[in-house]
Amino acid sequence: MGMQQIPSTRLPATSDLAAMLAASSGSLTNAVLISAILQGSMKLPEMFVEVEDDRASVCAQSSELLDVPVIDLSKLWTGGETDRQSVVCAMAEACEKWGFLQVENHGVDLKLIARCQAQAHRLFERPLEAKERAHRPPGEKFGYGANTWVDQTVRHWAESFSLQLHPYSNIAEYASKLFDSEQEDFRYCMMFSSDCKLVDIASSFA
Amino acid sequence: MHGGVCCVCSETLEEYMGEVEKLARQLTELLAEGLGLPPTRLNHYFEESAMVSMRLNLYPPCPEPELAIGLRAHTDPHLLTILHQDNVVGLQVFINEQWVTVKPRPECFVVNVGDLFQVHTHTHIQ
Repeated sequence: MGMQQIPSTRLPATSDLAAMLAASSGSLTNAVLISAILQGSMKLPEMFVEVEDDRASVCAQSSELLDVPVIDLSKLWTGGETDRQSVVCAMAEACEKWGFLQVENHGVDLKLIARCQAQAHRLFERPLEAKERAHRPPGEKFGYGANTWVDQTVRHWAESFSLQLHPYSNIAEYASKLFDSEQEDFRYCMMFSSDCKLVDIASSFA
Repeated sequence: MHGGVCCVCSETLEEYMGEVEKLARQLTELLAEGLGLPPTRLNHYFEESAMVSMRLNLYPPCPEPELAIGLRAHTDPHLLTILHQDNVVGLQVFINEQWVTVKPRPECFVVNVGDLFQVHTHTHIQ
């Protein structure tokens, strides 16, 4: 599937896009903005332009990729105390040297991860109307939308779903907002080329 | 029909989070021990009232990628964040005064030690 048109009520002619973005930038979700910009082949509007210091350094050449050492957790499940201690040391060392670590053989089924990724893609492929039903209002923690961070006016070039598992789960509530409408037309689903998608899943504790 | 689609989605996300939470508990004990704390010192962060959240991020192609950013430079305010990336580059870390792109490994988790952890260990982690 390639790009498709969204309903005309949502997407004005390209010539009107700049005016529309300027007029209602505060209330539009990133899904609406990003799809309008991509489909209109527009230049990047001001609201997405980072100040120079905060821009990403572009170094996607494979030779420049940092290959952070990977800590193999399989020793924890099968090994003895010596193996456990070696994992403890490797983790502390990575933490102090890099500030983060990478783990493999972590015990989470790779098929489950793939299923979760597939569901994440399905959520992002929901039509704009569905995403708006799940919209996260300014100042709220959960729902759909990657707008600004507190005190910052530049938007992230991203879409996000923020959900909670504990102390109570709101996952089913948001899933029903996104999927519960029989009138929706699935032809509107794919907004972006599937080639350039990057989905990540960040799970946070405490 | 839509109820079914919806249930599969929420059940899958909750199943994933449940498994990742188990891993997070184990990693927290191992990290606490490695950084000089009693291993169970931070376990109270996993009690019933604790906050466990997830964020799904999509980074669409950008018409002028050199001008924009998908997620601004930050440190995590939490205890621990367990990140799964797909196989497209994007994550950068600040090391030795420069931003470096991390090689994506879909079979791995990136484990980020948050600000809350550092408060407990009094260590300065990058």
